[in-house]
Amino acid sequence: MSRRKRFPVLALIIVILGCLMVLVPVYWMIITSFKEAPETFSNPPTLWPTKFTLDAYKKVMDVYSFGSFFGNSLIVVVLSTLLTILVSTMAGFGASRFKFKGKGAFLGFVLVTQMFPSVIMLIPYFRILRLYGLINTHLGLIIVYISFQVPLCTWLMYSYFETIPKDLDAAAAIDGLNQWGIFRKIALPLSLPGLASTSIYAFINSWNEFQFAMVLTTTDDMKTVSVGLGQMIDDTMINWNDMMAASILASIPLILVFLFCQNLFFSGLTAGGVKQ
Amino acid sequence: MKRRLFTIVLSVLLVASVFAGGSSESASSESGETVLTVLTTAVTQEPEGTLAKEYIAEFEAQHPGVHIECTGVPMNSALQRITTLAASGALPDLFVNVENIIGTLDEMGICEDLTPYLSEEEKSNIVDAVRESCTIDGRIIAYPWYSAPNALIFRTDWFEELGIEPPTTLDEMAAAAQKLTRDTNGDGTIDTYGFGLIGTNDDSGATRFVMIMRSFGARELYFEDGEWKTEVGSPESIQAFQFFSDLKNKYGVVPPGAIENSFNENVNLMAMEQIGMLIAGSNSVGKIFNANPDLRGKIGSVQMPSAVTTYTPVSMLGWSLNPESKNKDLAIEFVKFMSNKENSIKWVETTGRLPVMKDAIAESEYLADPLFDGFIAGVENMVQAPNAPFYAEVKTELGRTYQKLLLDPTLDVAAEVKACGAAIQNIIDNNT
Amino acid sequence: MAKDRKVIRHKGDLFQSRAGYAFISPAFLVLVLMVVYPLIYGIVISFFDTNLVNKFDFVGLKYYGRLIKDASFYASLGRTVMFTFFTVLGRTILAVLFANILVMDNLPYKKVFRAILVLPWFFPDVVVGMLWRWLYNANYGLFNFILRSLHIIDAPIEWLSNTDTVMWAVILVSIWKGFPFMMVMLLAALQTISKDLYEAAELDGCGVIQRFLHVTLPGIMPVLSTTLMLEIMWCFKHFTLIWNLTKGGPVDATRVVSIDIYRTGFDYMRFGESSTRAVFVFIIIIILTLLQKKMKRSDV
Repeated sequence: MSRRKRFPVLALIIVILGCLMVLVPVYWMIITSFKEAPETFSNPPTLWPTKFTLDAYKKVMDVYSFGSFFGNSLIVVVLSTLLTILVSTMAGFGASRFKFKGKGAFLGFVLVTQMFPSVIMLIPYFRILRLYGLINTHLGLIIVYISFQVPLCTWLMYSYFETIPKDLDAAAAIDGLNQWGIFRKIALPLSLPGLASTSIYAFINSWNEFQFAMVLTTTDDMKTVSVGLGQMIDDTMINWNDMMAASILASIPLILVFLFCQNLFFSGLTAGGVKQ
Repeated sequence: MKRRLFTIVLSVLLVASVFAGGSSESASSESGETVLTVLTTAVTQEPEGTLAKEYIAEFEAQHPGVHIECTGVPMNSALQRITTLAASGALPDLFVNVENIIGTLDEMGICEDLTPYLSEEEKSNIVDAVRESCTIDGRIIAYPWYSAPNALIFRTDWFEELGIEPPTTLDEMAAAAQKLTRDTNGDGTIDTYGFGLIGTNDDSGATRFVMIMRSFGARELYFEDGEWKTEVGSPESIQAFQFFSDLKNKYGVVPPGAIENSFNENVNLMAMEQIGMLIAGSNSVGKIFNANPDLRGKIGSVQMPSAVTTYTPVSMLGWSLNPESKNKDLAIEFVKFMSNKENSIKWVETTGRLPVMKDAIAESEYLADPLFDGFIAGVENMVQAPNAPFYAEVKTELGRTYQKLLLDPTLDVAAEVKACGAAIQNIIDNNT
Repeated sequence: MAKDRKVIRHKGDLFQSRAGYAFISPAFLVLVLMVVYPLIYGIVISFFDTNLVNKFDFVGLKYYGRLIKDASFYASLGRTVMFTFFTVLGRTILAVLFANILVMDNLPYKKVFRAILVLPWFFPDVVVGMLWRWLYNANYGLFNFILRSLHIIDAPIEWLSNTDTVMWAVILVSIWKGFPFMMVMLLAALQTISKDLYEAAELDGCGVIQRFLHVTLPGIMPVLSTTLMLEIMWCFKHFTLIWNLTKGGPVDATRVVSIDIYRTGFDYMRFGESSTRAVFVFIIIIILTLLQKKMKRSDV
């Protein structure tokens, strides 16, 4: 346990530098969101707001009506992430633990679907949803996001299951567990860190997806947060303080989700420790 | 674990089924209302959005039983959205149309001919150039709402201070720009620049370059004797590119980073009091005032300066009608309402976007402000821009060339411009 | 039946194909229902001269022929490869580095560092692109302001105007935005490596680097190779950041294939040609993936 004794000075320096690299632009976002509009255009730029104000945040909620956008985003993203994770965890487990004909083809096919630039897919997706009468509905967006995330999440989960030693489930099988039991009682708890990070991935990606949400929602009461953000970009001028305030508000749920999942990392660790 | 997983699955399925059940597209048609679907850029902008919603509410109040279902789309994704909707057969009754996509949308066959719906009086009330740009092959396929023509905006206070007159020619503009480029606080570095040059290769950059090139008498694209032609490569066009590159490389009157500065950055620079002149639309002035209230009363406008002629391309935003609409008459009534005299006058006062109807221009007291001189002159002298479906590609080619010349002053301008002309000819050949 | 029993006898109850199909069937269903049609649609329109609304003229392989002869397309491809290579390289280095540091037991404020380092991931590409464009600005950007206040430079640097610097400026943003994804994925993978392995390696007298090579790397390899593959795919078709930063300029310095695809499609309304390019990229990514798989197999 000598790793614990030495204080990692070099590591600490690297991490602090990394944090600085991340924080300079983020600091600028935060500080801008508390400025009044004219101050965001001052030159030289001010590193601290001369007048600290929450106007931008109020405007984002009242004028840009982000309140309802948040509701829509939460419904769509939470449901699509849960379903995505369910489907892709099963698929990842299946591909990692079973030998069956066409497995390679399946994994390849999953990936192939992700290789086409999404701009071109916009119209066919729209047509499909229209066929089912799902334009401008939560369900429509949920289905679209599931179909976006499942391929990548399947691959991610597949690779996490690959990191878990396979003799474990052989042992479990001898103990009389069936496949579903092994999936739930052995593989799932062990891959919890992977599950958590894949969920974060799916959640963030759906939360920030803009292009499809923009086209597939037509009325204000169905729009998501990313659409709201996209609408703030004007060809003539950008209200930086409003936009930064909106971006920060939009990222808060993601931060919460991350903090929540971060704890799962540790529970995964202990589960792994017990099993080892 | 087992129980928890099942609970999650179950609840997800439950919620999903609730949505599946309740996912009817719109409930309003059941109540016997007439629903008019409208796609517009106005409602996503401010202050346009608030006022547009007011107008819509007023129209609904005047027409009981009518509901306007309004979808907003930002201008930069309007074409993408309309195409997607049209390709999926889901086009709304009315949709936004502007001068630089009208040719493309017409080619798709999704714009109803509005000529039969308009009286002679109504037609002649539309500013001539705007009406022309809404007309393709004798069919009026868009009904205009407002306009935001480009003019040269400038800092009146700086001009007075330096004793210069607003420029009417490009030479005067370059001379004024040189005077405006100065070190105001004496620290040895330049603080203000003469001209906000837009060097990005995008529509707003290329549109402004075209204004300069046309001033020199060279047309980037025009239709003559049944075919599209270009004058890029001519001596006049070479002069224009030379002038444009000189602004940066010879006179040094443009701020640093001009090549990466889109219109957006230049509006910021104007608001930050870093540039003295900018080619801009009337609506941008309001945004500059919002960002920097001190500038009120310090900005004026003149019509685009000329070399041998002057050119202000038509800027128009209007409505087109879906030929498959079931409520055509109502739709027409709606678009006429949106730009009637009273609404147009209120519109310009709030948004700075100019009326396209002659009666409104004549009666608006607000437009009497000298700030609008250049824009009004622009409206009266607007010329229709080419409506070839491949015009966007031609503009990209121009953009590529001016970026090259701005970047490298040692390049042979004539050779580059001729190569650009050849590339444009190639685009024409590929598309006809 | 006999075959099944044989499998069971050899590898235990698990390796039964029917159960495998059962596990993957929901995912398969989703893909078949939602993704196959758009994919075929995209490929089919590459054989048409179409605006997708009222014009569908079959042109066969005309656009493919034109594209193969188009020198500017190869230049775009070259830039795409450069962008992809350096972005993925930068992201991987940062991700591996930070992930390994963040699992150290004795690192103080671990949770804080972790939360800070993932921040860029939370902002949408559009916002990140606009924000950095602002930061880079030659007149009023923060970077030039800081550098000038510290008297490191006299004249502002035009990061995005210079054909020599612009690609690196774009790659930097792309690394900044993208490294947290891989970092988090690797963090999760590192959690599954048993501490005993490290202790054993240490008892055998392995140094930091050897421990990394012999314990860490094999442990995270499946996740690393998957994320690498995904990253390469994403970068190859990446659009939003570059578009918002430079629109592919100046001149063509950052015009990657995805910008070509967007411009020909939604700017010029030539969807057939646009799709031809997309199909090309598609084929290239498939080849890359196959290569990567092969390399991975020869590794093991």
